[in-house]
Amino acid sequence: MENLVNCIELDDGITYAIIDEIEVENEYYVYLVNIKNEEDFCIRKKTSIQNQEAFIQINESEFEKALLSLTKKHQNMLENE
Amino acid sequence: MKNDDKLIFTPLEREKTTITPFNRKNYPYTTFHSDEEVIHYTQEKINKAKQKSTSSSSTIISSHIKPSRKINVQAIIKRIIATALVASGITAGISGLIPFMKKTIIVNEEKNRVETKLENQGIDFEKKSDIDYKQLSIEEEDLLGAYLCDLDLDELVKTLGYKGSSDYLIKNGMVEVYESGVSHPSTEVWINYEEARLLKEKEREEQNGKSR
Repeated sequence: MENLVNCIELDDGITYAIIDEIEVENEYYVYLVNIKNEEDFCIRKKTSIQNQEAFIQINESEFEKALLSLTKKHQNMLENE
Repeated sequence: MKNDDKLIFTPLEREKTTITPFNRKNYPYTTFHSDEEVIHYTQEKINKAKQKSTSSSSTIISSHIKPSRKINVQAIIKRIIATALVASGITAGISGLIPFMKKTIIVNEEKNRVETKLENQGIDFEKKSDIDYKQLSIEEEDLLGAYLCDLDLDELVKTLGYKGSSDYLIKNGMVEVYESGVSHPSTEVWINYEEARLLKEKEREEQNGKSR
């Protein structure tokens, strides 16, 4: 089933689809996937800079935390495998 | 497959089965890659994602947001979390995880191979509705990949000389048509399909501690 999602172009010039957004300890992580290669993904943190929504880099520990949160949120998807 | 296993399936179930190029006979989902290769593959993907997420210093503001598009979000998230779990070595309790990743890898390889082949022929996947299928040069072995690229299966098989997808499935022994005009998946495909389903069901029951 296909869903309509927003897309964003990152600094590498690639357009990514925003596939999810999860709040973890008052931080908002957004999950981005390359629209031309669904195996190519990354995670950014959403924040506000001068009243504008911004997507900033994260550190390694945040990456682990954000990936774990995505897995926990959607782990039921794998139960049918 | 044991004979008594076959008896539990009714002709109605067979009628309801949809056959696509995915149901290729003996499609080697579990033989192309070893478990170790799959684990290495997933670790590479996660490391790449980590590097991408942590190395950029620039800030992207919302003005970079582009028009929305339709994608299968559930399928993508499922692949990402399966990749993360396998890369971390967390596969216990999810018996189908490694086979799922093997299938994912093969599907991606197949899709990318055919996508590159067609792009080299000047196909623009952003404008699928403009594709002139008569100009495509594909082989039968490219069908699965082309199908995964969301191209029209009916038009694809016509470029190979078939009348349409039904003609392709019949001539390749994937479906049988009876005198009444009703068609079913062929016995060989059906047994293969049901055998896989039975094995999966059995694994699931064993996993749940309900093995017979």
